[in-house]
Amino acid sequence: MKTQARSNNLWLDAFKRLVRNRMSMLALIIIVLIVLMAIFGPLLSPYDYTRQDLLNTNQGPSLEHWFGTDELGRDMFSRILWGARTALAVAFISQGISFGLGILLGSIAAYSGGWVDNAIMRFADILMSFPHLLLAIFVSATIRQPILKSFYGVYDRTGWDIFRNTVFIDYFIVFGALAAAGWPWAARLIRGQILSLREQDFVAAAQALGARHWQIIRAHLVPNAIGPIIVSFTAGFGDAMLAESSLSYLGIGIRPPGASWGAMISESLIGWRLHPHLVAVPGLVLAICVFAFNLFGDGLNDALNPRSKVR
Amino acid sequence: MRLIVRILASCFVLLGLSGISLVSAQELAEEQVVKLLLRGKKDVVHPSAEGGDGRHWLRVTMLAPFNLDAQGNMVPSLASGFEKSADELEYTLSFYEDAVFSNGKPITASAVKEAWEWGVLSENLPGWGGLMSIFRKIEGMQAVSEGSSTDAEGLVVIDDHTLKIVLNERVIGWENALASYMAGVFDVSGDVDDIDYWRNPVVSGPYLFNWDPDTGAITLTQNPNWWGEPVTLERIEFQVVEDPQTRLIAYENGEVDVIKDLGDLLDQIKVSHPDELVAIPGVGFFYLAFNNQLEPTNDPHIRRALLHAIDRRAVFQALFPNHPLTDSILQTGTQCANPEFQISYDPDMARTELSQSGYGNAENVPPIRIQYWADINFWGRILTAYQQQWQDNLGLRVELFGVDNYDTPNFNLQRDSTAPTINDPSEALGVFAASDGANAAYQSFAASPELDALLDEANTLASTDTARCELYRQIEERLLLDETALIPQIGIPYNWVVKPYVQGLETSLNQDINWDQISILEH
Amino acid sequence: MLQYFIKRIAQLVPTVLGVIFITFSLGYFGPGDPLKHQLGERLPSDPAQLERLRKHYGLDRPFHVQFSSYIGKLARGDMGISIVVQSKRPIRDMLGKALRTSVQLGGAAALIIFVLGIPLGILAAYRKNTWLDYVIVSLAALLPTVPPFVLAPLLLILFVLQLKLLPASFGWAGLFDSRAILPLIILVIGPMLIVVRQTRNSIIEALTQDYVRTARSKGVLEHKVLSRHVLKNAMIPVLTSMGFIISGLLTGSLFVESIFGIPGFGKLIYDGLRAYDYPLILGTTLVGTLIILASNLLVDLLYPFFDPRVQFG
Repeated sequence: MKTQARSNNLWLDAFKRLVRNRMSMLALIIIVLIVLMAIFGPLLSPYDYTRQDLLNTNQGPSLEHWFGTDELGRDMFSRILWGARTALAVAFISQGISFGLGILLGSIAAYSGGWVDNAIMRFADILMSFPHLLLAIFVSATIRQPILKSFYGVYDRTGWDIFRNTVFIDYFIVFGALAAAGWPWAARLIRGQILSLREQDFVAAAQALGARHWQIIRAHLVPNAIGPIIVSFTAGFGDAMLAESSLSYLGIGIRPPGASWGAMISESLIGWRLHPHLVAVPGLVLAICVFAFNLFGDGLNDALNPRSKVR
Repeated sequence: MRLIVRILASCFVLLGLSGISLVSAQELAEEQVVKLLLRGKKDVVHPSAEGGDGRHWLRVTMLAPFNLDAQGNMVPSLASGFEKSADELEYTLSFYEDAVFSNGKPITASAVKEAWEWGVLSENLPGWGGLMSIFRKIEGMQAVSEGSSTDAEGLVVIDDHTLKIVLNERVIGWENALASYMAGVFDVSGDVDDIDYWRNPVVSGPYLFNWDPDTGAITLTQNPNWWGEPVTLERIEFQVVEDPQTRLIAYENGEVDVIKDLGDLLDQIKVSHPDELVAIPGVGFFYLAFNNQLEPTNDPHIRRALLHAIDRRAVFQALFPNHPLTDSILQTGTQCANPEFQISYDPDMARTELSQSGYGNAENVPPIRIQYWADINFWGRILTAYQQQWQDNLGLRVELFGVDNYDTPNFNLQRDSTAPTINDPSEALGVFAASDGANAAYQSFAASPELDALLDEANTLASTDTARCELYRQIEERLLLDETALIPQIGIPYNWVVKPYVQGLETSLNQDINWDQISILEH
Repeated sequence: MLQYFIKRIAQLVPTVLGVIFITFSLGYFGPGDPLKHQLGERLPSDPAQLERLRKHYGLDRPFHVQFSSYIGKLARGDMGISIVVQSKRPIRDMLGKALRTSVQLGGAAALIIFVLGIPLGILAAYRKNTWLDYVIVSLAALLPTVPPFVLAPLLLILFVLQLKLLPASFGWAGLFDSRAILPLIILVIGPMLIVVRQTRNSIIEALTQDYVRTARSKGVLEHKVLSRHVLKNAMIPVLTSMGFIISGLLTGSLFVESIFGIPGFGKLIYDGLRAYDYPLILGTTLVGTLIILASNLLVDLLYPFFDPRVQFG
């Protein structure tokens, strides 16, 4: 009971600190807007994001098309809304997989110790020594072909209609590539948290009092470790979005006609002097979005770990 | 009857020289240097594998027997002329007697023979055939290419300056092969299998060739042992910049004198620099090639449905209005070309074809996979427009692939281009219709045996025979509308963008530049 | 010291082997037939001939045999041959040439990052929560949110066509040519954020420490407090971020070098990817990783000079 009250207080304090930080509140508002955009935007937007109008290409902003139209006459605003969905999905799911794997492997490593710990952390070390984006590029370049091939095989054998659609394979490959590069960091973070908490007095005391493993985990480790995890989970969002745009630029991200901000930028790069808005709009939205997530991550960090100011 | 073709060099050279001297009296710039930006780094620079940007330096470094002028006529280069036998199976070339390599060694008929025999070796050729695509009909060349022989019987050294070429089959217009940059001659007695040889190869033309394989930069400087008419330009510098806008900005900023635009910025440059464009002619074209070994495009109904369901005219008008849309395989400039011929946009017809196919309706058709290589800004854009129209008009699912490996048999359609070096319908159509044509293997499309037979029949007719063009047009029509081996897209959209002070720049069907006739004005 | 050095190198060996194992096995099970990649378009269609070629290249051998022969080749410095068209160039030579350029570019960028980033971080820390702090921190945070492939055209228009200050950057004419300026700017922007933020935060933290307060109360001049007490402690986290910075520079060079046509390491990665030149992709990934490992090792070796509490041993 007592620890419950203590942790409630901690969360309340953190929340107060967060609200007091004007910059992170601004960032939060932007993030909420983007999330709402991503969820409801495509439903509300008057145009289909793939609908082309070859008679009205490269239009500037107008009342009918708030952000103008792109090189195929598609409504830029609708594509930006869809792009928000892509960006958030990529960020959320790739971070989710990274942290899911990281939490699992990190805690296994911390709790088992010995050779299991050694093996997992050596593997994580190896992956961490790859430059982050380079590993993502490498993974997506190598796994794309075999995955697509086996996927075709599934359709050929089953004839099931759902296997005709390979668009989500793109997303899957992008998620997978980013997560493969991301999980070792999460695993190291979690393992470190658990190990340092185990040394703390109150955990030792609880252990001495005969508390069970899972009780200790639930009562002490989870509330204490969750702060840094949330911080680094959020902080990684911006990087994941940038990484997705880079993969799209390199031609190994989301394929046409799918809409992602990175793909929108790279598809329009050739005509940027004639139609600068086609690059500027997705570029600006991407920048604002990444900036908001980074800022919010900082704010969360300050709020949850008031002593350490370092991300 | 013995057909004699002899080309007189002197009048051309005189014309060129008088043009230059007229200007030079006025205002020749002190520094005769040209800087040029290109796309795409060269990984290999020997002529026999050349299919792209190399043609402009090959013309003045590793000389082919002949050149083309702006009108497509053959003019002497390494050879002064040739004679053709009445059966068009034997060509006798006469080389200039004073011709020497840049190391001073005389260029003899056997040196030419050896350079070509090295060039056709299969390990020196690109996938589409390179030099072999024009030399495969030379007696014994196939064996040399495969490595089972070292001597092509069809290349007969008569004396030091005379070479007889014997074909195993008549090819109308084959002499064009002798004016191809792929037949360029270099001194093969060096260590040509070592990449370092190609940094400074021993050349036959007015300019020495210096290549940096790491940067792709190429510098041409005057060859002190040059045996022909003197040239004006002292140095020509090529550099590689991938991004078209950066190339244009460098040009606008006065850092380079010439850039090549591959159509990426054509619409923009037409507005900003309309007077500095020099259109590059060509009888080649871009197309989407069908694979008829793979479901569902092994069904001709599906191919025809895809062909008629897209409004190519409207798409290009909207996306790239300055690009020359084409409906044909035989382009204007090739004999028997039919400028009237059009492929109709007819969604109803397309739907009928779909319903007649083995699949019955769109639901049963597996997804159609298209490889457009890495060109997202141009072909990616066009194919996205088609993708929508195929979806709207037929309900077909089409998937687009950019960067991928060379696993081309996995794609139903792929973006490609071709330009017949031998500018004749037999060659231009043979790529698609002949059973040994490049498309059968490379793009996995086998035309029907009837078409192959029809082609053979047409190829035996004399070039003056009126039935010949009728046959070729019939083949072309069947290839496009019945068998549907391809969907034609655009002709060559390439342009040089040239500063006004670069005097006398001309280009030819070889898409090269007459560097030997250019001078720089004071500016 | 030497003992520590040897020990750290020895620890690296299994990591490097692991890296090679991962790259090799992804390549082995990944992108299909290596023969197809080796020969590209010239793959023969005759199955019997294919089988002969498989034997010739040793591709019919089991995985572990192929892997150990690959390791053996690597040990002799043989990284295979580029399959792009048929230049037949050894990848080792290509990498060697490319690195010569990229090390200059990346080294200069790293220097700028530290020389500019650390003072900016100190300034922001000392003027904490003033407009100067806000400007520095938000600029450092905002600029890296623009991807390099958007920044490059923007800067080209601004500096070349509008202000006419610089030539259009293409190619590589050495570090001290004006063409290196734009690539450097773009390369520096990304990792700069890490250094500015790291410096600012750790200096703010150091300023609250007792020894700083003691020194100040004793009347030690502020710049001496900074150089003697604050900086030394604050530099450790900055040093630790070296790995990130190198990683950021490597990634940045991929875009910058391909956009500006600089024949360096990043351009090689890009070329390999565009042409699907598998041996080249493998080689560049491997070398990129070795660079990161080497820089981490360097940081470990530099630690004791900054933090007396860390001992070699």
